[in-house]
Amino acid sequence: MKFFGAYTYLSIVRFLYGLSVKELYFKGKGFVMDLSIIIGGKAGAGIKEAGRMLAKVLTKMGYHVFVYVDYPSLIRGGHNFVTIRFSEEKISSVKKKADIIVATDGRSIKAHKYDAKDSTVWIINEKERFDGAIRAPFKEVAPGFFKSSSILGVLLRILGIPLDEGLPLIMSLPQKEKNESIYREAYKSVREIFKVKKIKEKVGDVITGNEAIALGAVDGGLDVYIAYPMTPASPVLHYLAKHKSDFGIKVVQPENEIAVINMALGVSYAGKRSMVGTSGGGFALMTEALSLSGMAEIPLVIYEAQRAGPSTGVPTYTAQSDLLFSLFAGHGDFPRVVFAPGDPQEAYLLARVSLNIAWKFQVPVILLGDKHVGESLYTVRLERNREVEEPKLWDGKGEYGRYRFSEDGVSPLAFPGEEGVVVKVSSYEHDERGITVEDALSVKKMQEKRLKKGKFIKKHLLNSNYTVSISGEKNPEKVILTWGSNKGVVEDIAGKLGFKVIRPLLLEPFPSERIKRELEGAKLILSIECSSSGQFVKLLNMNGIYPTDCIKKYDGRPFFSDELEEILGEYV
Amino acid sequence: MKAVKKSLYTGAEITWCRLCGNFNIMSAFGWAVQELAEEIPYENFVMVSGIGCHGKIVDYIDLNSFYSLHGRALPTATGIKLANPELKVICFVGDGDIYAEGISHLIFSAKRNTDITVIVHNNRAYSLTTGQFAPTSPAGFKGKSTPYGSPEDPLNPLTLMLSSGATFVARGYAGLVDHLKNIIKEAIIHKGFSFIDVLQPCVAFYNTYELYNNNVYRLEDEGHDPTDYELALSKAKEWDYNTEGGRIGIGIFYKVSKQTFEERIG
Repeated sequence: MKFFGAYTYLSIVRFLYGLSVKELYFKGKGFVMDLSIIIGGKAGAGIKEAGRMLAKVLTKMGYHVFVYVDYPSLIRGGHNFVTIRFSEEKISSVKKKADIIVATDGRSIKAHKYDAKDSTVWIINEKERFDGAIRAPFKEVAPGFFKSSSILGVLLRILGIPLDEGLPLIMSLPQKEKNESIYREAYKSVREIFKVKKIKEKVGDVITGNEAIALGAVDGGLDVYIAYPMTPASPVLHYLAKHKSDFGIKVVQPENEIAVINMALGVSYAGKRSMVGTSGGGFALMTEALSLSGMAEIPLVIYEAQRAGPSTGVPTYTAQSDLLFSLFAGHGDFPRVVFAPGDPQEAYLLARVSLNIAWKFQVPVILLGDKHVGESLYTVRLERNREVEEPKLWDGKGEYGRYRFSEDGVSPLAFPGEEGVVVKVSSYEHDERGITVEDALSVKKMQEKRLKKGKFIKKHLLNSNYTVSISGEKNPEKVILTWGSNKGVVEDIAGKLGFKVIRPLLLEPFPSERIKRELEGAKLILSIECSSSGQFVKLLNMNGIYPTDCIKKYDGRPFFSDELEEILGEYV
Repeated sequence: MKAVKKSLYTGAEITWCRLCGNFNIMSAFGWAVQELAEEIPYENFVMVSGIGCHGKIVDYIDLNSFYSLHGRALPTATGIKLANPELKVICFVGDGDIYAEGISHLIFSAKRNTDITVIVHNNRAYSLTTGQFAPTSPAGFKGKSTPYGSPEDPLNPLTLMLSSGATFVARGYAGLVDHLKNIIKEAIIHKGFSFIDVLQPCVAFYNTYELYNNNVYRLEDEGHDPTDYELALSKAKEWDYNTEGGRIGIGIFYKVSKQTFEERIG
């Protein structure tokens, strides 16, 4: 945006609402538009859909958009909201305080009282009364599902975005005639307050971490996806089920998570790539077979989308408290790999990598995400490439043994149905052919084969591109150590506050040497995580890394950027 | 494909008790495989087992195998079929294995009509764990965990399978190998979920040879019509796995053709 445009915009805003200049911080010649909008209402009132449509309109106009979705575990009623933040600059977090609050019902006014600033523009349902608020016809014009069309209409007018920008989205909805008239009427019912202009061509697509995981898995050669419904991993199941024919995959929903993982192991044994998806409780049920995957050396990818526990916990809210569980789940000693993506870009990449790593080394790979990265909407330009590495296959020479000893501990694969080959896999300790053994020497030798494989994996992965992400300030005196979905919020503010950010993408094997190298010269090391007991700090401590202080959040909500900025401010 | 006479023994040390019913189940299966080899090449057979004395069968027979977890052979088998529908997947499971730990999978595999065969080595006791009562042990069964007698009535796996949607329901007796071999052959050829409850005496913890020798009869000898669901149900109810006497039918109780899970899932 040109400086003149910026000045005009500021004048309008200040004239109309006395919005303080502080809100729109200057950078270089221009200023950066950065607005947050909350849309609240009952579950089933189209709140999420409205957020998604608005995000699509804004990305089309060249903005970076991030949408946080907050909803309780129920189908109708209750209170849902989305926070849409858009900016000219790359952003991947939301603020607690909003510039615009759309309250489609009375409850939303109360619920978001503390999310408002003096300058916040309130748009409320016309049935409600609230001084200074703009009243819009959410209920009368648009009952039930059509509320999303009316919300979009109202917001586009308020933001000064032409009606035509939202029309293609409305026309793609079911019952488009009805939605179109609702949209037009809502658009007319309010007046323009902001001037949000198209600034450039689209910078990316609006995508969730879950969608990115699904796409990454497909591009990593996924053949069969198996899952039992569980929030917040279910969107992967839904997405893949909807598009299974396009992707040429099979999607199965069995009777429980135990069936899920055992079925997946059956798929891999017979030579096709499988992946399962679940959250903490479901993963707990899978642990016996996780250990089987380790023992029988059967490739498997588990997507574990964390939610707030323990137990059933707060099912639709986020947490990072399955970290240690993922690292240690399963009985006995066996190698595993754990990756933690921080945004859809990484989710796509690591899902693809996970499929290949699982097959390269014949091990279980856990892709540890959470509700925040899984369900939030990010603006991402995803470049898709199918990358399916061929695993180590049997060369057809001599008698086949599924667990033949080799230099790196990885035995060549063959699959049932191949002539002249007998493929025996086992949950028992076994010999090279896969037949049960119990004598001391055989047991020791096979344990050592798996250990050798673990070392090979470690060597390979610690030298790969997927170990640690470094961002923020180069000055290493103040460092933030964090992981997973905190990426967005931390990277949005760390540079501004002069922090360097170190974030492991690989949690097992843990890249401790690399992290220690990056920490050289650091005077202040802050760890940031969403776990009340500080599981990430424990992991760091185990690896000889000792943060100065630990910032923890454990209310089921992610860190908000204004909130974290305030906390970090105390250390600056 | 020309059948190649192949030795089906791996050479692994066999650790079943002398006179264990498992020997005859293994013989019946091996025999069935040899006879089917004209149509089904050896490499297309996959054995999947649970955990228990029965499971050792996969160590002894030299065919593709997946020695799975206790109770989990059926989902594993379903996965194998999903990946490669050409394979003939046969599950060897125990009564504790599949009627207790893995019963949900048994019901769901029948419900889906997954194209797999399930052979239950039903000795009506937990034997590898040295003798506890099992889901098909009679009430009053004195095991190590129930020294004063089991406080539960047994479940009837045949009526359970008939009501769960199994398209092939049979019972065999480990004491009658050729009869059992024929049932196994039919079950493997059957397209859809085939289930065989095999009465298997356990010489260590529940020796039922005499009971079965005195009471079993072949359904086919009485002209049983396996396409009649109601008749199959009444035959299945004839013996409740509890009483020590009465007539115990063996053979194919029910057989019907239905689209399989693999066909429906596409």
